[in-house]
Amino acid sequence: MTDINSMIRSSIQQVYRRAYIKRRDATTGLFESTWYEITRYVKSWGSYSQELDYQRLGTINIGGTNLVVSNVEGKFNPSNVDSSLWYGYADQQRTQVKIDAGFIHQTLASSGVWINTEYPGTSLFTGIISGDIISGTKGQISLPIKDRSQIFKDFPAKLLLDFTTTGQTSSRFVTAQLRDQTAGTGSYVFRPFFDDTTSSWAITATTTDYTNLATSTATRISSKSVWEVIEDLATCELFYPTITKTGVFTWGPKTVGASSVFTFNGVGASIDTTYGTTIKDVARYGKKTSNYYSRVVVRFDASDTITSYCETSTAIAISGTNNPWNLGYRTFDFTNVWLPGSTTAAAVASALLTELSANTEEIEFTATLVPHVNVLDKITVSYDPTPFESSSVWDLNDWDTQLTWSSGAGDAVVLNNASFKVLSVEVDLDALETRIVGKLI
Amino acid sequence: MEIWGQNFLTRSGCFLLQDGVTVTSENILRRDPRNQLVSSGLADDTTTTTIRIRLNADATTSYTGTIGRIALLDHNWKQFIVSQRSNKASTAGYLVLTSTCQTVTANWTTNSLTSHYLAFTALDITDLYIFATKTIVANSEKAIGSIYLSNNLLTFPITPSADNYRMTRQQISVNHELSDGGRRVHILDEKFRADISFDYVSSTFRDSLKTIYDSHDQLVFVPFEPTANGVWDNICFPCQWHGEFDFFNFSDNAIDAGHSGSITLLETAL
Repeated sequence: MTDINSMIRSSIQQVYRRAYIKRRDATTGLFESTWYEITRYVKSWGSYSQELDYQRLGTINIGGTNLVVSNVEGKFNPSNVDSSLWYGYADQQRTQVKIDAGFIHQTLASSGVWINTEYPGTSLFTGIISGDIISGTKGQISLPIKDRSQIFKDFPAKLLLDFTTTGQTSSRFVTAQLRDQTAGTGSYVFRPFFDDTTSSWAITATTTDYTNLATSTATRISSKSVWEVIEDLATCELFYPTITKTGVFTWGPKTVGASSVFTFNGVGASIDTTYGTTIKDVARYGKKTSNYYSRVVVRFDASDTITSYCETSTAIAISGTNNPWNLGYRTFDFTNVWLPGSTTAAAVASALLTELSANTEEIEFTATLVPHVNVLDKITVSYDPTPFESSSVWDLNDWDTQLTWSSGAGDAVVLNNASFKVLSVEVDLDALETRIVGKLI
Repeated sequence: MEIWGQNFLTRSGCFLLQDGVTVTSENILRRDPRNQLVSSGLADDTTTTTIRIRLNADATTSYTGTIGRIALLDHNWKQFIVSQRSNKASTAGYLVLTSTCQTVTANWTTNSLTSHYLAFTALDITDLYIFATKTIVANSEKAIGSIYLSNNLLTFPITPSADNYRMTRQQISVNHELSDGGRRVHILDEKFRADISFDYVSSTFRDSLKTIYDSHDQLVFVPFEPTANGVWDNICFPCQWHGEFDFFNFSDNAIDAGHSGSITLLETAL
């Protein structure tokens, strides 16, 4: 069967990388309707990443990339130079960028027509040009590409229209003040960056009202960017605001997938005819005690009184399995005055404690290109560098009771179909490799 | 051996229409035969797909290009016509080919080859039309891998010796070493490279080469054009002359001994 797993497993495989831009008309300011391919100019692709900041519930950091392009023909000069791809278009900043990469399966039909099927067949990264574009003397330019959250980071929350005097729910905020935000009738402010359609907004309805969203002059609004407001609200709702690889803004709970999306095998793993061996190197594995906390304190009110705080902790007990006893009390505290009351604050504290008190192993490894794994996906890892016994093992073991060698012999990293949730994914599009950080579940 | 000028299809302004609709020339420019321009809904030998190449997209500005060579690579056409006229039935528009091609007129009815090299007396044209009707496997969609439309700049008067000719197809790839010591290769692309050197060449040939070198323009290299019966190895690729021009050197201690030098041709990006 031909699927993305068979493409990844194949010992030799054709891959593709393509880059596109979407420019804005110099007069109307509207994006062109189709993507313009710039692959032929790309000299290096850089890497993009998604990282779960699990100490700040509700935050996923999406890293951008730097696309180094040849400018020998002047195609990437400023828009006022007639050789530029932007000549006749608006400024290069906030030009949309799309990067596709993956595998191609090619078969020649008897008719003489080649059938090319691409896997995964969707974009790997979408973003905008944001930052300094400086020409050098080497005939090349580095385009700073940031993910689409930059659109919200660059917009002050107090300039949003359509606040409601009684406050509003977070889903109403995302729907009315982000998705439908306009600068004049029908002229959407954010929607053009999301394919100019409501289909690119996946919004889960919420019920909690936030009084901070009553007016643009509210203290918690006036000095913040739209993205900062989104993150504060996400903490309260236990949501993860994400912008998917294909450019869909998602406002909703994000939980770890129930089933494994991919099995990574390394040295010593059993032969796997579905996923094959993909792990190149395990950089680290072990308990990340520095990320362990047994007590969470949340401050949810601006006034510094005893009732402004909510805390939860793991009880100490003199036991060999009790974490506060074994590891000591470690307190994680943070402030979010958007939390509407102690009940919500307690729920947030409880969720954080569950996450932070697990004290489980983390793994960081690099693998060959696996383009379809995302943050919070569940993955399976098998890796066993325990050395083979090169000489005869006859009469060394009691085969009735010791059929399995001790995993304590050899390297400490011995994983057999261990399940991890993905905390971080970084895809290096030049080296065509994937770096993953996962937490044992 | 021939060196052609830049493929008109890669020049800005030139564009491609299939059955009246502008199509991306991306697939037609990729030398990889697995990227093709394929008709849609024409898997029927009684229907014709028309490929029109306009040398200038701006209809208000007349642009005429001089062409004398066409390469049609990796197609599946059994019956097809190459013409200067939009009217398929107008035989006066059919290209008249030289004797190195399989036919005299660019009108095939029972073709079984998948690539064609067409040579003809240079013409000044604004448009070129290709009408493909039947396919080698009957009633298939009409497909073609690459089209080159150019003019011959130089036919080498001599052929290099085997030792002085090296043609390679370089694989651009990422070679992964996995944790178990095994390997996995991800192929990104493959590009041609030709290294040619000559000794004892005439000043005339040297000057012709220098004219090409000095043009600083994209070229098309055809290592071995077809023999009289039309058999071709189907190899041509867009390239640039890489590095220095060193045919000023003499091959021996006499001015009339001729010149020595080398040519490195690297395949271009799209």
